[in-house]
Amino acid sequence: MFRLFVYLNILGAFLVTGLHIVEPGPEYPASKGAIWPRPQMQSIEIPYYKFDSDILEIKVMDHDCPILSNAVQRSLAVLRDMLRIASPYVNRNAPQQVLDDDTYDGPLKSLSIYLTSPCEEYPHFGMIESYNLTIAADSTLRSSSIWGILRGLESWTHLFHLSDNRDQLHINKGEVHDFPRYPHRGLLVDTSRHYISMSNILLILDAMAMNKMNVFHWHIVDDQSFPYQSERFPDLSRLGAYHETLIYTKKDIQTVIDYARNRGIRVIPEFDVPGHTRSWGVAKPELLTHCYNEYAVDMGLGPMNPIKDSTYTFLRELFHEVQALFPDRYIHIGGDEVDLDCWESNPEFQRYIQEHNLTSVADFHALFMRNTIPLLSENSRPIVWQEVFDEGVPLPKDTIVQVWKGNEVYEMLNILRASHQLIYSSGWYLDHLKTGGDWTEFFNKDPRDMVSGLSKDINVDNIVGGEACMWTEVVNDMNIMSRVWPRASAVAERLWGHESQAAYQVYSRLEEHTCRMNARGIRAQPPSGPGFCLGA
Amino acid sequence: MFRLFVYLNILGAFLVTGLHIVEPGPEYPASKGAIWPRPQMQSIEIPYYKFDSDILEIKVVDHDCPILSNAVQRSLAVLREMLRIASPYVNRNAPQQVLDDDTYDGPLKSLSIYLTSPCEEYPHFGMIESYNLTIAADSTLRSSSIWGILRGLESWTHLFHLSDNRDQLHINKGEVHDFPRYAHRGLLVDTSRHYISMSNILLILDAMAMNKMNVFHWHIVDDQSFPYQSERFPDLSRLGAYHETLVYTKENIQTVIDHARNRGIRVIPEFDVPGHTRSWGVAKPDLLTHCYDQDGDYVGLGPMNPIKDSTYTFLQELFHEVQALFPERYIHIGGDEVDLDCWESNPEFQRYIQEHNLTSVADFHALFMRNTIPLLSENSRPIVWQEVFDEGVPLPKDTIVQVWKENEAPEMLNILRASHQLIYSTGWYLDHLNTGGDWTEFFNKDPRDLVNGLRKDINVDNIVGGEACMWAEVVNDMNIMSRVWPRASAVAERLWGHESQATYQVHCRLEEHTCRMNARGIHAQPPSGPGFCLGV
Repeated sequence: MFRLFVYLNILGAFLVTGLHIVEPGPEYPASKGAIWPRPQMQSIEIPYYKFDSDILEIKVMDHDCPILSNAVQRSLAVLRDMLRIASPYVNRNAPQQVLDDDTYDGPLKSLSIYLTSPCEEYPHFGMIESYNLTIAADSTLRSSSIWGILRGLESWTHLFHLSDNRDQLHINKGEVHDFPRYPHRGLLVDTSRHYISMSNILLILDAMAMNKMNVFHWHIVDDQSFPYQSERFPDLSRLGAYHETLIYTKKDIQTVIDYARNRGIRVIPEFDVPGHTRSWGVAKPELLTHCYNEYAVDMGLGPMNPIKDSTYTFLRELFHEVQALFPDRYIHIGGDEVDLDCWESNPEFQRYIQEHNLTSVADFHALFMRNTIPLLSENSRPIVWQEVFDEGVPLPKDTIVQVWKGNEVYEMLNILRASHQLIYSSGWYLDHLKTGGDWTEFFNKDPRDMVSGLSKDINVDNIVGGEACMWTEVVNDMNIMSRVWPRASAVAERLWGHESQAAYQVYSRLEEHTCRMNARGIRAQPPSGPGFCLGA
Repeated sequence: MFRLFVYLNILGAFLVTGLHIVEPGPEYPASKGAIWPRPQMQSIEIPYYKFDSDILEIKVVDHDCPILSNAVQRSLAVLREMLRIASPYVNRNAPQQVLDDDTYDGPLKSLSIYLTSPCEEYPHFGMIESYNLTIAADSTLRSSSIWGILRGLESWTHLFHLSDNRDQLHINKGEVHDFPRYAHRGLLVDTSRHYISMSNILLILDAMAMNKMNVFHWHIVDDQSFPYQSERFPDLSRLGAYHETLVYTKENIQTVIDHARNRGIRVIPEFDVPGHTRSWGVAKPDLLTHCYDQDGDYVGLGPMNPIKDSTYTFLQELFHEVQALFPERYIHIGGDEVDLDCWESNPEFQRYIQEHNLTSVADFHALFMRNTIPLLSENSRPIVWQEVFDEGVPLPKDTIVQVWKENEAPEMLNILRASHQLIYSTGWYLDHLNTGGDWTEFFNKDPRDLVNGLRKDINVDNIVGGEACMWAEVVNDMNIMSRVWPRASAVAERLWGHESQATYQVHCRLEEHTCRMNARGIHAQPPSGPGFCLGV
């Protein structure tokens, strides 16, 4: 495949021994029309076409559905917006771009979309996302799946770039053959430590689609607050949310799911049990275990009580409601950081250990999960944090384990040897901050590469993906967009593509992609260094 | 002075050996009506008054001026906004607050403002900022300076807090006697690495006033871009800005100065010379020195050329224009990170060294400053970065030296022994990031305490203040507000007050202050941990 990337700008800064020479202008000049995440195969040729909304016709040639027509409308709106946003910056003094030069091939006449199978209603694990895009005066986009068409349309909008005068949108002749490397490319958002508004959640989904991420892992409740409004148990949020208005109603959640579905994004809810449930206990203290100090004084409430039947009766009803609302087959049931010491401190549990000959307090975690997983609806597949695996809790084979702690290579090998699928998050905690543009640290982590070749009895394909995690202890509506983006874009590219590219070119592409996100209303922060976006 | 702080909420989280007990709800519950920065002396009594905009009369009893009347209008608008923003969160089911209880003392009837000297037009170094505030049904605010009245009005708005039902604003009886510890309490904003919009600069000034900061240090140009639009030399920004629209016009700058003046904030421009001037050279390459590598090859442009008369002719004209525009007596002329190696690499400079018997290449820096400082207008006082002092450049006694490098205590001792005044910034670089709420690191630095008692021949009062520095390499309009606030609030409190307060109470006060900033349109990020603000 012939490949040509033209970088129009020179290096922004360089060091000479002893001297510190700084060039004026941006540190990494933005690329022009580069797709993010980088496609698997792409050719870019010199001839280019001009976007003219009066001329361009988008033809849906095969299957059609509202997801497809909505996406087409969004794509056209993006192109019109690019021109509108650039209009104050048009260089009217410069000579008009010569459109009858050798390389100008006329206006873009059409884009024909060939969806060769009927639309699916909801995105799902393992969905087809590959697509083929040919850019010519009469362009074509082909996929056997609506999700591939969505990915292709996203790439199509990335290929457009402003003319030098900024008064036209150009797109180069070329081809893209593209498919993801990992099927599960997620972003975790914690809406318990701080409440995140509906408008920001929808913007996050917009940005995820721009980065071809396909799983919104909604860490919806935790110790601090319970913003999920249950119909069956309304007191959980009425008493357990930070405020009775800071909640997600059934309608809100349906809005999120529908918005995500239209962008090929799965919504996986996490109801983290049996730990991280303190806010559940505001309305339902009987769910939780009383913890005692060494003088047998009651110190407060800890994890859920695994030795009371009423715990499971409650969970069955709650999960039933949750799974009726969320169409995804997977549900995350947490299982991290369970305070085993609390269980051990409770005299009732000590008696239970003796009566049932338990060998370790971790057996309570096993007991809890053994009783809880069957409460999920038929065909459900659980996702759990790595501790559930680490503590020897027996898990159904189709459980996905999420790796988040340090020492991740050793952990991943153990999980793979047990033939579980896993998703990786250890190196992708967005709450970990460093001075400067720190996305390169995320970018340089490739979960399969970490374990590849280390052991023969593993199948690295069982590393099905990963998730960037936005824990929100110090993040709320004020800063979540700039904290997540474009840092999660590094994770998105790592999970989509593979082939390495010179670091400088990646920097330049991320510069363009960040400006692109800004132009679409995503308050992504500067990725790497000095520079500017026009009109965001 | 009788002091009573009532914290209505209990500790959010605590650790017991072995157990990790987390309480639901915010980690640090917000205080109610606490002033930030903490006043020098305050009494708060149990009786309280209610704000009623139909009843409250603000009386300007002594001197008056537009600065005062504007501030009064802003303060009343803040109180009305607090009620408006709270209105969706009013707890209508709860019983009405009983206003005829023992501690309710009726509506707030009046605030009489006694400004005992005529208004000054512009804030200045050493201005009086002390004030006395007595809260009663008929309250009084007194100061001998308009700037003290501004600080007092700000404190007055902080004292109001929502009733438990959130339908009323209450203020407790009490007194505040307040004055700043340091005269120079600044925030540096770099508008060269990224352009910051006028609207955000004005919001930053609003937030500075909320934190009683009084110096906006405008690092307006640097290597990367030259957004200052000069009337005399329009090509500097036309060619040296990132884009010809990303500039600050004369009118923009006058707007900033006026907005700042109305809030008691000085605007000190920095035109950093002779280094950090690469963007000047886009329009005027003749200003800069050609740098050569060891093979004698030209590699690019370095610092200004100190051995050409034309450099000084240019600077004289530019400084003349700048100082006519900025009313402030102080001007920052930079002097940091000058690439001496570039000067040394240039054959012309080597000849100059021999011809003039220079002993060190740093002598060029001395030569440059010796020629440049007299170009400033009469009565000007320069501020310089510490390197100018470190490299032995002779400085007028009234020059203020800004300390920014590590190993700050010996540096400060040296500057103080040379009887210069200094401002401190080393520990207050807002671009340095750490995971979590990192404001405590800023809060724990007290520049006078760093050197106090180390030597007898110094006067710590010559440490006249400090500045939080927002270098903008990875900060632009997308994230500057949440990056600066509330982190710079920690610096503001350190520079204003002194007496220590239990850490937990400071956390709770900063929680309230952050919500207060949010309510006034400042996108301050969560300071410390999980929690919420209502109605932002």
